[in-house]
Amino acid sequence: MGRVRAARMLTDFDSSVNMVRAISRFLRGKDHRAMSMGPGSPMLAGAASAAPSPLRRATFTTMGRIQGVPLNQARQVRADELTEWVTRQYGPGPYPAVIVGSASGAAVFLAAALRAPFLPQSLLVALRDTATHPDDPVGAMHAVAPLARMVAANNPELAVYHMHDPAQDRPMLENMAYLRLKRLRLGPVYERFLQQRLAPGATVIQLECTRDWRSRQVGERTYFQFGCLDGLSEEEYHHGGQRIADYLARENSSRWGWDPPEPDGRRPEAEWGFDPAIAGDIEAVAARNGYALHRLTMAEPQELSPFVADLYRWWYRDRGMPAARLLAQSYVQWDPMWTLRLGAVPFWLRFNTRPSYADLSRYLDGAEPYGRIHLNLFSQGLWSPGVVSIEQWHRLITAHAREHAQIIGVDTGAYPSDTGGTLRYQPAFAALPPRYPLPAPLTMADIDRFGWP
Amino acid sequence: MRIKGRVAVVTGASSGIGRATALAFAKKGAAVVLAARREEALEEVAGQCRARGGQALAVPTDVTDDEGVEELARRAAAEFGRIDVWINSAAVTAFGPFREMPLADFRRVVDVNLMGYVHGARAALPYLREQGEGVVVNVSSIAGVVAQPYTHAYGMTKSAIRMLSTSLRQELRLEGADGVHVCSVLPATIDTPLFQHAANYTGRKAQAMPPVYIPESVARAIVNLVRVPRREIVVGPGRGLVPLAKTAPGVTERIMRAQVDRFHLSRTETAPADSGNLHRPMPGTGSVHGGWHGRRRTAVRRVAAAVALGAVAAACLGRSRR
Ligand SMILES: NC(=O)c1ccc[n+]([C@@H]2O[C@H](COP(=O)([O-])OP(=O)(O)OC[C@H]3O[C@@H](n4cnc5c(N)ncnc54)[C@H](OP(=O)(O)O)[C@@H]3O)[C@@H](O)[C@H]2O)c1
Repeated sequence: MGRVRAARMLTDFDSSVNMVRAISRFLRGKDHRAMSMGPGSPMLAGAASAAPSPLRRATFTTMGRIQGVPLNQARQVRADELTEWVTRQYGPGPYPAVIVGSASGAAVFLAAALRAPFLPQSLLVALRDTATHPDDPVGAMHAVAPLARMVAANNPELAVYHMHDPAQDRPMLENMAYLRLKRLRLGPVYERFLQQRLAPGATVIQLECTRDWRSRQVGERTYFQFGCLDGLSEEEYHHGGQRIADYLARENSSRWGWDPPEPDGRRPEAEWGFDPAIAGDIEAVAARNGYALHRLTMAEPQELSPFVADLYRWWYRDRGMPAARLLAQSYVQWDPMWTLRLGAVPFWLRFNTRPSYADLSRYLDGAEPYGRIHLNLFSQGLWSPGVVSIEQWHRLITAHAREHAQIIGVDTGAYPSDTGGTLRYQPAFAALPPRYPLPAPLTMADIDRFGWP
Repeated sequence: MRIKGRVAVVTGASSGIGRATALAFAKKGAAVVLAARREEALEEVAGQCRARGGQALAVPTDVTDDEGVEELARRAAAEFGRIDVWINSAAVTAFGPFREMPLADFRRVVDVNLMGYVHGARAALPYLREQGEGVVVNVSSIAGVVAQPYTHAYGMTKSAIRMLSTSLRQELRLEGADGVHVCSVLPATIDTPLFQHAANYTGRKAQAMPPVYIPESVARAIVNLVRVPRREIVVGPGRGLVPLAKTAPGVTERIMRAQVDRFHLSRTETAPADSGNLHRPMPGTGSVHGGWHGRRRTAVRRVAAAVALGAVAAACLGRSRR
């Protein structure tokens, strides 16, 4: 019962869920096609993206509705059932290392290189909510607070963040409310995993993203966060501006601006941020079992991207491979298996918006030039503020590739409402030449040799 | 009792069942005295009553104020010379998990729904007894027989009201006041603004649980009850639940538990924590209907609900047998 329930409650587009799915499938020798939800299919993708744009937008909204948990089931949310879902995705081990903590797409590739599972601190459970207006954050906060408090009361080991982002998450928000659940304690399920499935002397990598965000407490261990890491700055979320006014007009909103509740503090960012409350438990379990504890700290989730890219490059070269192909992957459309099989250097983009564009641009400016650059972009269903156009992305990679630059797996006419994008990225990766056998894993000593960030 | 020319006091007359009942009595030619907190709403109803040919007097009253209710009776008698019928319909409700419900709200529900009726009966009965005839109608609810989750206070009061009626009836007979009747009315779900008025701490929007019945039918039933008094009547679909609660209490409990969770509280619309109209009346001049599509869909819903109830009952029976 708990099994089925946990799987149903988790959200298919959540970054943590996709990390777990991609890494666990990689550890079983499988790819992350269609976000591990079904077959990747360029044909189906083509059909999905050929629909007229209002229909495509509606598809995203409907997805939101389907993914949301009916409100009468909110009382059934149990943190331990959710973490059991996580640990069930992995085999018996023993694993030489494990990554515990914040989500980050770059860490997917780090985990794959080490053959290490990932145990997320935060998971997303979305509630079906058709009543609140995306552009009424105060209303949303009040409306969802009773249920968010209930989830927190039923799960003393969690902090519950009701995250409300009317920009990038808008189509989803029309039918759902996001509850990001952050573990404050490791809990028996993760503890058992660490005790039973790691090799003697294994390393526990505690991945800590120190990114915080303004939020407001609405109950015991219950918070409301307005906005998220996105194409807008935290400042714009809270104080508006022309860009937001234009966006709301474009979206035909009945509101002219957002009037979010007064924040009462800064707390770990709901989706990516690390809450250090869990650190004591991790340290204790590591000490008890004789594991090494390695803390990896980053200020932003994408901060690891250049490090991981350079690590892969170094690793390929060490194996006598050219390492001249960069494969930039965005949000949760990542595939560690095909990255390795192509001998491609992975660069993770948090999203398709300006901050991610700036990150890639900065990296390419500083890196030794790549021969071929391939880029895949996630679609969120609308031109939310800060989305970078296909032309701009294309110009960026073309300017930096010595031989060839290409956006792959994206219906560039339909972007950023490329409904079929999810079905298309993995086949697009798989269509690239050449092929290499999967390498033996990297060890912690290898990374020590290369140098941690 | 013939209705024409009688004097009827109606509490909760600004909205829903009370309002529909006042209009029905006016239409039959009774003089009506309208009580609730919202004066403007009462004046509007008074105007509508006059338009239907009845006399009407609006007396803004908070039923938790015993002196205020005494005054209401005095004003009714002073204006129309007597009191023949007293209808207690003013009530509030609150949805919420037991631990989340503020005690002040819990207490207020008991105060309005129960003490309000006690005040009404205390104020009315002396007049009725002295006249040797009259009817007190206490509007209870099916929820007074068949319990629901998340509305503890409401259910408790609705159950207690039946006790009050019965007890008073016994006392009146013992004392030989044979012409004075006390009757309970147990409506099923009725299309009134009650659910928009409700205090709510569940996080989920409260909505009328189908099948929904029209308030005019309850009003008609109350008129008939005054004509030919009976101890207790059940109005609306879901009537079957009352006997079922006696013969198969376990099954009924399970049915209601599931029904409330699935249909009384929205599965898709959230709702902020709110004390509704408990401590302060809603703005506006009120209405009879709540917009839960009573009239048009009653028949369809009745069939659908019968099918659903049957299915749930079958499932519950199946489970309890295993
Ligand atoms: N609707 C249903 O499904 C249903 C089912 C079974 C039984 N009932 C019963 O039917 C009766 C009427 O309910 P309804 O559905 O018509 O609800 P409603 O539309 O909310 O009407 C309730 C009435 O009570 C009045 N009231 C509330 N607090 C008061 C106070 N302190 N003092 C004086 N008046 C007060 C309200 O007017 P002000 O706000 O202006 O004071 C309003 O006129 C209640 O006894 C209820 O329990 C209803």
